[in-house]
Amino acid sequence: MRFITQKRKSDLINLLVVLYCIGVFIFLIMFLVYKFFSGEFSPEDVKLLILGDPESFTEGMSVYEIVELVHTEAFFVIILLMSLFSINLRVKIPEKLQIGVFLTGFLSAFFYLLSPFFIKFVSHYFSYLYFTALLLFVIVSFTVNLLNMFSFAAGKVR
Amino acid sequence: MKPVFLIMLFGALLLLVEISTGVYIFWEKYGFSGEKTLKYIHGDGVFISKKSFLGILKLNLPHFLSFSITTFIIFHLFYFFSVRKIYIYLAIISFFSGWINFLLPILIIYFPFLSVFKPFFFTVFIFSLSAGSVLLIYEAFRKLFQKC
Repeated sequence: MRFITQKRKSDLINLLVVLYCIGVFIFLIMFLVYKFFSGEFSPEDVKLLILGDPESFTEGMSVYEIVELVHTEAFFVIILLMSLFSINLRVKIPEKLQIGVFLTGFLSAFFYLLSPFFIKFVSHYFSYLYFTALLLFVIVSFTVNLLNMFSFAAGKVR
Repeated sequence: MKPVFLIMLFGALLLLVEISTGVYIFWEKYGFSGEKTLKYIHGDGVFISKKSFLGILKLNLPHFLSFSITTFIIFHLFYFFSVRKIYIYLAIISFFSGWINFLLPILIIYFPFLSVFKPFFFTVFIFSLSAGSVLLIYEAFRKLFQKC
């Protein structure tokens, strides 16, 4: 009886995790699509968005607008990374690999969130840092999410 | 080095980034005075328009859920360390000051005299949540480099 109860509990958790992972996939795809169409994807578009273009009379973003944008995105990043990585703790992969992936994910998130300020106050070349950090962040999230989904779907977790 | 403490360390660091952007936005919108808070919500008749109940609600509604989630996430992680009384006090203060902070703009529409409390409760909320984040960073850092 105890075994049946425990099995049902683990089946429930596995199902919830798989469903959550599908939701995260949809979010990541929509996130990338939104970034692409809103001009917040390629380095050139981001440079234009933040710094503007005096020749075409386009104004860049003010500090307040940048802070508002980072404020909203920071929340999503915190929830996404902490949930994905916490779930990933139960997946059977080497600890050193886990540490490497977590460090890459968190550092890319930090650079992604802080690079708009570097673009505004330091140099427009930081738009390449923004682009690289964004791609790395999405790739890491995608990979960890995929790993979580398959591990929990197969029931092969700690 | 255990990966779980890495998650805690960076999660708390990211929250400090979130808190600092929140402080800047608050400073720009409400200032740290009751007078500026009142002007922001009730308008000044010249440049700043009066805010509607629906407008204030639209802004504060997502904050209510998001601050509850983030505060819960940060303080529940202390479960992995020896739970000291200060963590419990900070959690209680964070939640209560957060609830009052995000309810006040709606109340200020009908009771303008409450505007003096907005900067106070925001400050208490920010300090308690920041203190919780810093303590979590300290505990996680200690555990990360602790010899097993």
